[in-house]
Amino acid sequence: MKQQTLHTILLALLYCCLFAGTLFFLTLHWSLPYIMRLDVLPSPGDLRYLITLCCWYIGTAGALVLLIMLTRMAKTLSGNPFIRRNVLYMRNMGFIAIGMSLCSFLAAAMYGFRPLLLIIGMMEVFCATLSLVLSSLFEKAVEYKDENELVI
Amino acid sequence: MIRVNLDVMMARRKLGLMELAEQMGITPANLSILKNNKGKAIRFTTLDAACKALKCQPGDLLEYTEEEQEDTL
Repeated sequence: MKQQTLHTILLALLYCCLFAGTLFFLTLHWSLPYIMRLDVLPSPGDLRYLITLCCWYIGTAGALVLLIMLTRMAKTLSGNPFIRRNVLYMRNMGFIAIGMSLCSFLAAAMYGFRPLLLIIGMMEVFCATLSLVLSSLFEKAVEYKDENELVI
Repeated sequence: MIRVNLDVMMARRKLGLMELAEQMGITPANLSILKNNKGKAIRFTTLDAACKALKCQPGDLLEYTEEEQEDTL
């Protein structure tokens, strides 16, 4: 498969995820009781439900920001991806993923033991670690590239 | 630090930036980087091309100077 085709497919996938994520974010208030499989629909003043809802909103917003950063990084693939902006994006993605994992863990604790949310939280921690390590590696690569460009 | 005295030799041989870049086979942008001492390293092939174009020795182009120490409070 040609590189250009792969980039196009990647960008298309990212845009689809962004669209789906935005829809999910906008309908979260109505869909959350079904996602959490709550036996009884929560009352308006239910603190546990409000905390869970906040965690999901923050987590989803974080995911959307992550997707936007990924899209911007993917756009540089056809040109020059070794730029400092991509290093910053990867670092920020790591920190956002850590925030998302905290929200997942908090949401998991609200309605008893929720193993799926715990697993999602652990995956987010893993992805955060990966992103932070890769951002350091990428920063070195950018430094070497910059230095190499100044070799005449 | 190593200084590149390209501007001195260019003035002596009365060669402009564009002309010298063309003779050396590098872009004017890269030549400008060399001339302004912004480069990190120079290839032997580039140095060879510079000496050929300017009819000089590497020592005429490269000069070692002591780095100025920064004043510390």
